[in-house]
Amino acid sequence: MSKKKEINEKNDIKTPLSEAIRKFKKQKNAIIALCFILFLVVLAFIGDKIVPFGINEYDYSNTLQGPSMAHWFGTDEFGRDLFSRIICGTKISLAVGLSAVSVGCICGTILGLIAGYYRGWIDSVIMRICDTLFAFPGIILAIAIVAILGSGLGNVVIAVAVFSTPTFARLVRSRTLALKNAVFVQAARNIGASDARILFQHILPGAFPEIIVQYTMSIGSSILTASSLSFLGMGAQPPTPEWGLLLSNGRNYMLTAFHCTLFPGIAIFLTVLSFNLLGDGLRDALDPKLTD
Amino acid sequence: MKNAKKLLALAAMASMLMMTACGGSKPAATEAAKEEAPVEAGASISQSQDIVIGMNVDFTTMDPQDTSDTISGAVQKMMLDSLFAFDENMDIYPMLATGYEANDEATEFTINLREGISFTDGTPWNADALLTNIEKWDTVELGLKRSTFLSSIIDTYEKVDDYTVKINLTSPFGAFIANLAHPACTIMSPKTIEAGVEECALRPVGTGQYTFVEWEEGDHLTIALNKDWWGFDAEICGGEALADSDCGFNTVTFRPVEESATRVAMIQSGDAQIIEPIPTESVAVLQNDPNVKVSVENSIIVRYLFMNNQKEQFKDVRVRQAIDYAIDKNAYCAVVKEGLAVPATSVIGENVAYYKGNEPREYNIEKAKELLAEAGYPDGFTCTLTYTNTTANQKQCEFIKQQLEQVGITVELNGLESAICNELVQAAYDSGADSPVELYVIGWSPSTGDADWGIRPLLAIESEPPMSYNICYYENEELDGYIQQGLQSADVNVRAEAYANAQDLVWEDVPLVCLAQDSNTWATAANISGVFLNPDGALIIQDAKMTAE
Repeated sequence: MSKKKEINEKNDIKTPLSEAIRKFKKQKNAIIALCFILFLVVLAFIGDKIVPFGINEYDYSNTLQGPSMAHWFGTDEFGRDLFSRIICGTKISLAVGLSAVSVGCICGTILGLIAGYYRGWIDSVIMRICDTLFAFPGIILAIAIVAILGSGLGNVVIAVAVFSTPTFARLVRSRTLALKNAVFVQAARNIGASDARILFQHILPGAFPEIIVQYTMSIGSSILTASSLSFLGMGAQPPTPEWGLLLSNGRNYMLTAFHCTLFPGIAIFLTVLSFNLLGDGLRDALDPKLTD
Repeated sequence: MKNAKKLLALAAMASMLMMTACGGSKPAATEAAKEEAPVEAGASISQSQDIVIGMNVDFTTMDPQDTSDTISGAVQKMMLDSLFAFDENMDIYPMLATGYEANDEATEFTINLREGISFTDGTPWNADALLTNIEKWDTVELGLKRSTFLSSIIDTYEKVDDYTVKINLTSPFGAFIANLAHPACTIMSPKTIEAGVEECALRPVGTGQYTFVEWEEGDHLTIALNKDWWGFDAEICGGEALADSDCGFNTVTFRPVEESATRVAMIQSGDAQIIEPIPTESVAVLQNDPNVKVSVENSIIVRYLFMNNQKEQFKDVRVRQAIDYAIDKNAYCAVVKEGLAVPATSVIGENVAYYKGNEPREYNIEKAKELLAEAGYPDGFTCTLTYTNTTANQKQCEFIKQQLEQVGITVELNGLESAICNELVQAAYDSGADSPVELYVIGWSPSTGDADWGIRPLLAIESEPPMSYNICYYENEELDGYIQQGLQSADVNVRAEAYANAQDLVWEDVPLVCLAQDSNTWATAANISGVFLNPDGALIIQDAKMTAE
């Protein structure tokens, strides 16, 4: 009996991925957050087909009504159904968050790889630019960029992408520095692999765990920044049901119709919280230094 | 041992804090006693009070000749008096003048000036001071926003004696005295005028109830009470003083607070003692607050949707009429203005001289679609609505977008920060077709109370940007003819007919959509009285006082 068990354990090979999944499964908060995010993703795809009212379907005789059976989250100043608008806004907020961080991640990773691998003047230039961008708080930098480019969701994506780029660049650079002298990289170089092959096939996968964690954590903050910009009138333009804009419109009625701010606020809060919890969970699962 | 030391240190800190607190409370108690002792309930305490007024936009300049916004004009009038002024009923009364004589043709005006008045910089008020001011009004080369306001009318001017000035006009102009009562014609000290336009724009000096203290753009503007103001002196005023001697506040600080909800919070928390305007959605909330007094009065402010008449789609009158039919003005008043407005019945407000009402176009989607189809747009078209992105503007623009969508017109909203928006709208373009502005929303209050200033700046050919506000780029010589006819006559009947024709023409040709006539709303702390808003929207605090509770 004990012999059989021994054999089983030998066959049970632990790959880094299976180890990460095992660790991740233990994070209850992260699992709940992941489920919520998956739910949001589904909503983003089918939201506008399942909502009870159109996003611009107004009813002037029914303005600023509180939550009811007909309007679960109440109505806004034009009598539009807030529930429908928030559900349809999911797509916009997720799209802005994901696309901005993706752009930032791709740019930052490439810059980080180049800086860490080639060192020298190119490293100095990239890192000094990153230091300069780090000197500004993210939201201030985003406001400055939107002020130059003009308002609109497209420009918000650019602004958020610009301020998330240096974080990825610095992170990837440090991993590149650590990996470039590793035996497997030197071996690849010795058999004549090109720089591109070394960077993208050998070094980059080694940086994946850090990139994935940073990517997830950044989505939350970029959704928040995009909402803040819309709140300030620099992001989405009315009547887009972007959550920050819904919050901004609702604030005028805070004293008389609190639901106009409450529900968009809750939507932003839960989404950002979920991405942060997921990020935390992934970090705990992917960091080899952390033990069970 | 360690714990004992910690406890000892904590005890020492606590006793030091207590000593500090005791030390601090002593003078505070004395001050309170000093303040409270002599004042009885109901007595005016305003001249010892520093108050804050929250307004929805920032000031643009302190030079009356370069001012086109009501709020800047209102603050200037607190520091600078004018020859004549409007009371709350838009009736004219003399201020720095005592009266005037005009010839029958209304081309020659002799103005008698009040004696015994000095500017706050010590310069005496007399005919020379007035001449310096008129010279500035008449200098078009200065390129100020109001340079055309009087320069085309004034021909020559001369000093008759130290307190009499005669002004000859280029042509008869019945509304001349009303124009002198406009905020653009407030009187500045000759020394300030001689120091140049920048000095006028930044540090105005006049004869007014208040003097200028400081202005930090975007943050605050402060004025202080001029206790030696001539308006407190019954003798100089010729019998009855303009204001009681206990009126006015020690200092008044104006804070531009664009955020409507913040303004409401300011008056409720006591951070501001006066706010204007009250966001329509908060009027009911403030009415239920016992510490706040809410006022709602009719105004002469009309809200318009401007259409650029030189853009291809708006060239056709049928399109413009269709847009007028497609917007439900009653819904606009109910939803956007929360019932604090009435549908407009003319291009000018009801209390403006020579107003002639017209039957509002009914809300008729079918008719609008028909007209669009006739004009060659059966499926509508796409256009951009440019606006300054204040909360109130955003709401009305969203409403307009919703309404026009029903007839197939897709409106893209382009909300801009106010300075950027003004620059875009007011820039000089070769023609209206080159302007990037297609639709634009604006409110206009003719501060002369006269039809001329309600129509000419918005629709006369001479008023195309950058000169004035014909952002519709409407060029109609027939209308210009009526405007000139009204401008050049002193005969009430002739003027009435000219402006009636002008209003009919505008109503038929729809160069702009007249949406609604606003109400003025303002709120004060419950113990402040005497504050009112002129029908043109200008805040007047001449008789304001705060009483002890």
